Amino acid sequence: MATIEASGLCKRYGARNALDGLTFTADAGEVIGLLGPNGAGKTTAIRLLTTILEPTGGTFTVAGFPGDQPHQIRQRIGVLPESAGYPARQSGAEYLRYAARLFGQSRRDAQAAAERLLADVGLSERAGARISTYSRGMKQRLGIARALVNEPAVVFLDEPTLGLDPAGQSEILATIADVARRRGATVVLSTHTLTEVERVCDSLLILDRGKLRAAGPIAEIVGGAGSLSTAFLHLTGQDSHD
Amino acid sequence: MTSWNVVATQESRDLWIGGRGPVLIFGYSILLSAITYLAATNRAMNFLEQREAVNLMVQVALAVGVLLTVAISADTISGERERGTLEALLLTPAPRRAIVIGKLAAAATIWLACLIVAIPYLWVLGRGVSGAGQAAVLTLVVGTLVAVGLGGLGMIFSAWSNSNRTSLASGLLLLLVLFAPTQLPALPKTGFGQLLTRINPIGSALHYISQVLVARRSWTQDLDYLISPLVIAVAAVGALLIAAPRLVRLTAGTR
Amino acid sequence: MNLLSLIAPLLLADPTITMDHDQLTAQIGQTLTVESVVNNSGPGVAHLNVVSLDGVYVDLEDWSQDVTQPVSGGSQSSLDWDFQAVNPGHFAVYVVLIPKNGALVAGPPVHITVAPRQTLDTGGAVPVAIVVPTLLAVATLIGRAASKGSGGF
Repeated sequence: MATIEASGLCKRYGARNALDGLTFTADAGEVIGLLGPNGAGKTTAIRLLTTILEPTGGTFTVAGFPGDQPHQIRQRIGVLPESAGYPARQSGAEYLRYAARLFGQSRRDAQAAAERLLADVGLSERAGARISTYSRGMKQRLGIARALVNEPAVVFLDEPTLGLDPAGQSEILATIADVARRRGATVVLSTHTLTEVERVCDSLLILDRGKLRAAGPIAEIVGGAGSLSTAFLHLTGQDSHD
Repeated sequence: MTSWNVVATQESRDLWIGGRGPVLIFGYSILLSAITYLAATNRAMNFLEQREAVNLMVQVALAVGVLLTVAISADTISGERERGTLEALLLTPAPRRAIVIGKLAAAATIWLACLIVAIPYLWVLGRGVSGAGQAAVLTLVVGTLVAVGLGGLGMIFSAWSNSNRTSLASGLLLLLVLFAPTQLPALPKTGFGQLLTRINPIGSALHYISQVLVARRSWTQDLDYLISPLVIAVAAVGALLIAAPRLVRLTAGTR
Repeated sequence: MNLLSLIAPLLLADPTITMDHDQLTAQIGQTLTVESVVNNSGPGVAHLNVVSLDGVYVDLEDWSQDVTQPVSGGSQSSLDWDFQAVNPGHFAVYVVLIPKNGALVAGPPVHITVAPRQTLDTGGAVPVAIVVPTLLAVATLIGRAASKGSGGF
């Protein structure tokens, strides 16, 4: 069953097209990669689908609700925004409890959710420490935990491994694969790192300058190009630069 | 518990537990102590009638309390934008109206703290003339109107600005513009001067308070001076409620 | 007797000023209000004045910022005067009418006795001025230490 359906989704800022006619579907339990160079429109696509921005054209549904019901969509999605900030003075546990309360959970349920999620992402030991004392990797794991606080049907992760060392990246990718497998949620993973896509994604959307260049299972997109890297450079026109 | 309550509770915790609230209130108490000491000991000021001393304390408490409320509320939205925490808040199902009301309620807690801290000073200055209790209730009623109104305006500035500095500077400029006329030595009490006092929510609030505390008029005698504080409170909160979906956005301005 | 002879005394009557009190007592700093009624006057200006009966210098500005009021004229004009008793002693407060034409008209004085008073108690103020910030400083430090040291859930 499709948990995301986008048809001709556009976002225009004056004369500039940030996103131009994005059309795709994603199913439950699928990890779909959103790949593209900087400025390709990945973050815009996520902000449209998460109802933070309003599209200038096209339609979409997320978790069974159309885009004109943002409140319903927000109830059923979890998001790790790009370059998410964290309240430095709150503890990890307090941060998650607050998020859970905003999703309508009781004090007791919010407490239980915070404990469970911090354990899931390996932060139980630092639950009461201020977020300002967390490393970047710990903050990203906390962000993923927050994205899961409402048991979402669809999870959007925008550059979750940005700025992490290889060990940190590996931990995050393992967590993402786990989210899709154990929770049956659709995961939309925005990245510009090809190895991440190859490691955890089932299918792929390649964006370049706001346009969708390719969509489908990774094997199909690689096709005769030999590798995802070659296919990506070809589709984004970067193979002719040198 | 409704969303606004959840937001207000967390924002209040952030302000008071490890936040700026306690330090600001400590600084405020130092100011009140200095004024109380001067009022009580300085020979030149000792000429003050007790009710005037209480009135002076109320005016300082109101002025500084409103200043702190505006400073806190001017940080509420633009500050979250700068720190990158607003998007996560907007991604929750909490209605935008609940977010602004929760944040305004939390900002108003600093005003209530200012009032509570002022009570012992009012008591010591007003002993024997039973002015302290009346002054505290008067400050609560009138000051809350002004603090909510101008705090609401501070929040609107905050929603309009991507930078915290801009919203804070706008809020402080507004306060300066409103406070300046109250400090003029001899504003005419008729015609244009009176109009200027009446349309200025701070000027009219201070005038009303001094009429009750010093001139010993009844609460109802100059009630029309409370029109502008009431109008500013209702207008600011109303504007926030009506325009919340347009105001509370990831970036100020275009969408 | 014609109509003119009937209203002539009225038209020719001199303006007079009456006050609603002839004596008042107050404590220093107290705000007082007296009412004056100007009768049979033409347009002019009424002026409030304060005189010390003990020979003390009186700065009128300290007593009131509004010491003049216009009088439109007519059979009776009522004027309220608010002032603050800022010096102790014996004083006379009176109103003078300065008509557009004609001589000054002075009203009867209101005798005011202002009692002195020690207004503020230094002894009580200092402990409050010290204790309140101290308590707040202690509460702030304890709060900071508690929030930094809190661990677990």
